[in-house]
Amino acid sequence: MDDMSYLMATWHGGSMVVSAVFLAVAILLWWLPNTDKISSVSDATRCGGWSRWFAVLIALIQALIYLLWG
Amino acid sequence: MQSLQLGILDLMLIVGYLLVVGLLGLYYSRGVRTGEDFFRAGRSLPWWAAGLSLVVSDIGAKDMIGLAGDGYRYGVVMMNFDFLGCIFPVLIAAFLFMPYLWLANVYTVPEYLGLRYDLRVRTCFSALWILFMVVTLATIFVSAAAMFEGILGWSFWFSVGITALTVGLYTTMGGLKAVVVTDAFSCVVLVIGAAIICWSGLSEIGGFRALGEAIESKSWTEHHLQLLPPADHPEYPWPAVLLGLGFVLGPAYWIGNQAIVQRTLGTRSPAEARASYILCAAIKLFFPLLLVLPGLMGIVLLESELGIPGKDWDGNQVLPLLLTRLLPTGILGIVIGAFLAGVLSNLDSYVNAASTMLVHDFYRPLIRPSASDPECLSLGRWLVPILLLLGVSMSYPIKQGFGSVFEAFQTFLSFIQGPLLALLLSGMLTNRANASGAMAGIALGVTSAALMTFSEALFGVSGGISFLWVAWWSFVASLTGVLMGSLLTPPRDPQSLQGLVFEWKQSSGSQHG
Repeated sequence: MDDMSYLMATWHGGSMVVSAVFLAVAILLWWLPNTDKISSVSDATRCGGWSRWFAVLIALIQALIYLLWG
Repeated sequence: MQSLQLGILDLMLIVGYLLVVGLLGLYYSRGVRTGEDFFRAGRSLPWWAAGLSLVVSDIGAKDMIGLAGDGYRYGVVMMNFDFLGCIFPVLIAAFLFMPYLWLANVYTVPEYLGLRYDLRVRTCFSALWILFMVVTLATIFVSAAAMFEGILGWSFWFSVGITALTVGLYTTMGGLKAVVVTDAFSCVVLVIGAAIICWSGLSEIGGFRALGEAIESKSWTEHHLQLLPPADHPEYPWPAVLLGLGFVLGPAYWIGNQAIVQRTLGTRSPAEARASYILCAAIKLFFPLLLVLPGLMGIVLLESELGIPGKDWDGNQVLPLLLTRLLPTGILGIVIGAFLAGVLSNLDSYVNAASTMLVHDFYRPLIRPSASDPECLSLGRWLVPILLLLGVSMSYPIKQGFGSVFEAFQTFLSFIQGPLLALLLSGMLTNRANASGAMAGIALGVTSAALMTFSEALFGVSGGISFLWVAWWSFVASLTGVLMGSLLTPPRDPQSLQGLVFEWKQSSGSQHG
């Protein structure tokens, strides 16, 4: 059985649902207000900008993993 | 289990690892002068150290040996415990929860629940967690001793003694900072050790493709390469994996477990608290592969010795047998060092968290509100060896009836996971939830979880209900209780909730600053 036919034979709705959950997480993380800005504590936000991008990327990778491998 | 034969080089590496961990812990103990230094590392932890510490605080001896066995029995579905059970809640927690817990200036998660609801809720959850942690300490000792007894032939008390002594030394002196720094070092050792096992196995088998083809060719491994088994899978149906593990057990663990959250509360800013969680999620993208792959390799390399898993099949043999077959002298020392890393980091996180909760959720609010900072520091330090001794003394009786005691306690813990998450979610995301609702939520959640767990005995439900479904439905019941109880009673003054509840409205400044 080649890779594609194996994927088709084992694919079921679960992979699409979980993949959609991670896609929703990526959108949520992108949309959420920046919690650094409401902080009353002096905050260097050294990790502020890139951490959001990185988190969105991880969620998208997970969505892809579940879509292809679920 | 067959004991491994260690060479001089292996022993030197193991002793060297223990020495480095002990010295690192003692070196970082120098600056501990206040309770804040001891319990929250003086809020000086860099995000990368906290992130590495998060990864290994989650991995114990039982997980390393157990995941290889479960990988052999069930296949890649076990990776969901990290993918859905960790990455999903960790990403959400990084943005929705951790910055708020940090800004609430709390030492413990129950302390936050106390600020958000009332002292009853705080005391209820801290008592349950402390009880759980003490039993967990004992089970970590038992698992570690079983592992070292099986792999190295060490006696039970020698294994327990060496782990308790090493952890006790640096945790008593250095508190959270020593714990996190040694954990960060241990995380690197653990990844190297696990990668060596995987690389050696894949080299022998001929790579990923050969591994996949060999597994597909077996008659009993139909779902082994499926990350999400179909909905009619007997153990891990995908809807239960998503709802029970992904939506309840994972979030309750990564947001509500003090042993996990404490290092994040010790970071330098809310942004670094968030970044530590994101680093943990990034490592967890590949870490489960390193832990589950040995089980899959075992199917190909060890099927003639281990056979097809049945009811009484012992999965704990998979990893030791694999090590015996794959690793030469010298390399073995690094891998044993990785096992030690897993044990020590798991143990130090729980003992440190239990000490913090005893001081901050019991001693200070209930016994001696006027306790000074030096008094709390001193008590926190004394509690570390006391808790370790308690764990050691409980380890032997637990060893005698290990399966039943541990399973009973895991069942007991599953009763509170759903309610804990319901309280944290409703407390942090809505202004309307109040203390009366919280108590109603705890009562409904725990009762429904108990009824479902004992459904076979009480209602004759054939085969009982999967623990994943119990977690999900007890969470739903608890959330319903919180919302109903809160709506039927007067709300709290919104002013008193400032800084404790997520602000959905965009504040001034750019969104993606």
